Amino acid sequence: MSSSFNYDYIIKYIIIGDTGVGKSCLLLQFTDKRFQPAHDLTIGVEFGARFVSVAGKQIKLQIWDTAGQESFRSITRSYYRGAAGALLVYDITRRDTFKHLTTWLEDARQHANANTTIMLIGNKSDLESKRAVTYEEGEAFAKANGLFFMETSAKTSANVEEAFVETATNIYEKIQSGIFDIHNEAHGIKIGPMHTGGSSLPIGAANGGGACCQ
Amino acid sequence: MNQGQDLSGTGSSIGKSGSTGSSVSIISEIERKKVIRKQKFSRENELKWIHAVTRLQVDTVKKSSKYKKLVRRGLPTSVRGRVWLFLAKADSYRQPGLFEELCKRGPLPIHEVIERDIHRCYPDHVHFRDGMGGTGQQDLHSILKAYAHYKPSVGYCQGMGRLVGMMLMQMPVEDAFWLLVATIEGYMQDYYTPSLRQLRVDAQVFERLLKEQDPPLASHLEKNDVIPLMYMTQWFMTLYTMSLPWASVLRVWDVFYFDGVKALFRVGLAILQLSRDHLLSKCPSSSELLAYILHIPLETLAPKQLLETALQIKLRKQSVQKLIAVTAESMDAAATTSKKSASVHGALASAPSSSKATAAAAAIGTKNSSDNSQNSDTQQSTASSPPVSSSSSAVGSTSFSPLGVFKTRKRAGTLHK
Ligand SMILES: Nc1nc2c(ncn2[C@@H]2O[C@H](COP(=O)(O)OP(=O)(O)OP(=O)(O)O)[C@@H](O)[C@H]2O)c(=O)[nH]1
Ligand SMILES: [Mg+2]
Repeated sequence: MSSSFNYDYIIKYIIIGDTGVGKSCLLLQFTDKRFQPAHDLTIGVEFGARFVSVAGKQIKLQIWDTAGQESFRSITRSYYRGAAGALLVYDITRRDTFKHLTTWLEDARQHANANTTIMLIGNKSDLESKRAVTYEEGEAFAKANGLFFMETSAKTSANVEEAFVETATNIYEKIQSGIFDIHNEAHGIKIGPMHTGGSSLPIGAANGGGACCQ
Repeated sequence: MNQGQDLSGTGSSIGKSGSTGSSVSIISEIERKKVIRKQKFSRENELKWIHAVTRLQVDTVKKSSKYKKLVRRGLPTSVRGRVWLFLAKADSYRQPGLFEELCKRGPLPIHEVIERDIHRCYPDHVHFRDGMGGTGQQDLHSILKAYAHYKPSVGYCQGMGRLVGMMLMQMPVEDAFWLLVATIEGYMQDYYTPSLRQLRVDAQVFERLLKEQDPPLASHLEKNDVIPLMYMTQWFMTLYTMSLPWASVLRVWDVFYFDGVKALFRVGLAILQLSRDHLLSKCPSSSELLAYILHIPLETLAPKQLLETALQIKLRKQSVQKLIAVTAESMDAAATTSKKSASVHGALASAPSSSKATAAAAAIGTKNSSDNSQNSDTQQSTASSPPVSSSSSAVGSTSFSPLGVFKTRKRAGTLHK
């Protein structure tokens, strides 16, 4: 089960949100387990990958980390396509990044798959003294828009693992219940070699739910 | 002001060969002669550039095949900044006293964004880091803020900071400001405007050129949904300062100021050419492709290889310009007919149907020529050390760890251990 080359699914994620909210730092914390206080600006897009296990299944996450500055939006929109999960990030110490969530959400709704699982993330939770958006406000926004919600710190790593894994868990449930069609690449999911017990042939009954045979 | 770095390519390579030991005296004699020849060449080279900068017209220099050859061998460190300013015609933009005046103007909303970005421009470079007491960050700051006043229609766009940082390593702050002005105006119009229009045009042109130069690679990338915008955004918007070994960045800039944007296409195509075997044989899906293209091992992009490969790609300036113009035109047309121009994929898919653009593409030869390959640029190739930095954590090489995680690697602006 532990081999990197054996996995049941590949799931595509996209990380979006204003510039400077900590998207790249979250990705780095998740993939490398470290924090780089002065991270390079993201120009265009960055990319990372990691394996997680959900309900005993190995899942490879392919994560697209996009540039947050307004100008780059016309470019980053093309990455929404085929993302099964989206992490929408704001900075709890900067109110404007919270205010801009509506525009980000509109973008996501317009360009991503309708079933994309969206996780709202209030990042920089370690900076309690500078907090400008309360936990309750974040939670309320998520609720009103049908999003998952978590506060994280890319610095202390608080909730970082959880945010990525919980999103994967939800996507996995959607696969199980047939909401995501794993044979349709536009849904952001691919079957891995493990899924068919080593053979890469797709199995016909896969979207019946729980059809994975080990 | 600009004590931050001295990328003395010549100096350090001389130092190296001098210390090879005394085991075989014939070899050391040959070495010694080589060194002397190099020193002589670099002194002459320096004098030729000083002559150009002080006595000649830019356009004359740019038309001269002698100078073209020289620029391709790399500008001497001692005059590099001056030659860039000269080639970019910075003096034709310069207005005495204006920079100082712009610096004194009040804050703009965009200044806040600049402020937040400053420490993320060259995080590994000691000259531009927080609390290092250097003036680097402050200068970077002043230039970007002044520029936002100077050109409100552009304001500030991420990526510009990388350019300014590079300029500041070669020249004093006011010169760097005017070089930025000249670079954006003379070479990169519409790259940094809010719509990034030119970049999107260039992405299509790039795709076209790649298709011609290397059909198998182009189709492999296309099949896996890897489009040029994904990787060339960083290349073009930062003029390669985030993607190449430092010594190569300098050499690319030398050629860029001489040849213009054409050089950016050539270098991009060269990068892919140098990576093609890996991309074709080891990267079966978009995941591997992007992981590699976004972090190409720097060893494969050393100045000699990169420049030689790039300069062998035959691109005629007029053809590139024409292709750019035609692509822009058809892109605008597509944008007005279908309101859905936001989708990059849509735009790309619709472009090839324009017969005009196809014809223009066909007009461009990408045959290899060998007339430029006698580049003897060892004098400032890998031996040249990048700017000083005391960061150690960022040193490493690109590799996929068992977890599929990217390791940090050396980039331009990072210390060579
Ligand atoms: N205290 C604290 N600082 C953080 C945290 N996450 C990020 N930062 C800081 O915020 C800055 C911006 O983080 P990035 O990850 O580069 O931001 P980004 O969202 O990727 O920005 P763009 O690439 O411009 O879109 C970094 O330089 C970090 O110093 C966090 O959890 N806590
Ligand atoms: Mg980022």
